[in-house]
Amino acid sequence: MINSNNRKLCLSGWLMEHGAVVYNSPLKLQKFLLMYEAFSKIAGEEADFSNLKGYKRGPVFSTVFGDYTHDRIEFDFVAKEAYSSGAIKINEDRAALCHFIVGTLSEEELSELTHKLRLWNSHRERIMRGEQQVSLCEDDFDQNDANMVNLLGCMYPLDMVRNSSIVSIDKHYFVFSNDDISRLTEQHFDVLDQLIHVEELHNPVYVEIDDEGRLLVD
Amino acid sequence: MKVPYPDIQSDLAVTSHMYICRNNSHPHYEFIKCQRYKPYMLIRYIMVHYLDEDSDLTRNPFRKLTRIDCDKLFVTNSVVYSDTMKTERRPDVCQELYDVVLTELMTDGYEEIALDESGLVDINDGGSNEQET
Repeated sequence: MINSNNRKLCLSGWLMEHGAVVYNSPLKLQKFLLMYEAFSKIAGEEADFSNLKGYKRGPVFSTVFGDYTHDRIEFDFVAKEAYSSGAIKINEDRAALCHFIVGTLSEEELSELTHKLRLWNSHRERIMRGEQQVSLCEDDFDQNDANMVNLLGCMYPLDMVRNSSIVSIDKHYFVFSNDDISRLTEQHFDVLDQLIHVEELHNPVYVEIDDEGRLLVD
Repeated sequence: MKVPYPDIQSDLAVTSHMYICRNNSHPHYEFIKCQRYKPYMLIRYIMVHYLDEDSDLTRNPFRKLTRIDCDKLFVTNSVVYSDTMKTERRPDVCQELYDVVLTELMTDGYEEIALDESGLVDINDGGSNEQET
């Protein structure tokens, strides 16, 4: 039996369809859902922080986690159905932004990022002590959290989100324009592989290909 | 400005960032690095002195939210820089921002980093060695 509410099922269904790689990571699915609710809240729109618990790797929507972990096949089916039904209107731009954020950071970085939120951090001691089922509530999400999430949103202009493709190599996420991605050669992949071993790179790693085929790395 | 990686052939990959020029008393140049704002800056407080600037043509040429790293100063002593290397949207930052950048830079000192000068000349169209000009 699936206990997740319709909103979370629709959002999960959206991610399954538009970002299967991210969806297949339980942690990244949770971060995607959290980001979507946080952006909804700071936009002054309906947000759903129900059944949110503090885990060591950050906030977790416990019903979604239970369904996804213990009954994955049914969860996938119901989430897909819920999204297809269009029962909940999803803000496509916001979902794409959240997918981009979650898709271009490692699980460790996403955990660290959500640890910065007062929503989780105000309960840090209890959570890290190993206490189970520490409830996090919407009121814990304060102005500092709103500022941080807002800043995160400012890093990713929508046209860039819409016109980019991601190449991931060993927890490094390289962002190319859709035009450049088709120009990538095997040698470029070799260079990226070399880069991650000899340079300190920070996700997301933005890369352009210049006229001479050289990678310009930001 | 493109800067070579120490361990990667520069015809394969280079880093590319904007820099604010502090000192242009030829042939000695000093630069302050401007980086695209990234999430790690929210997670780890690596920089002590910095300024965050949103895109604003009345103040700067940045296209995106940018962090100006005032902990470091990059220097060259023999490279000649062409004006074509300046950003097109506007070639500078406003005086107010420039003054604050210098104040941040001078607070608690900074690390001075010598750039690979021959590498710079090889990969930047507007750069050349002093002897060549």
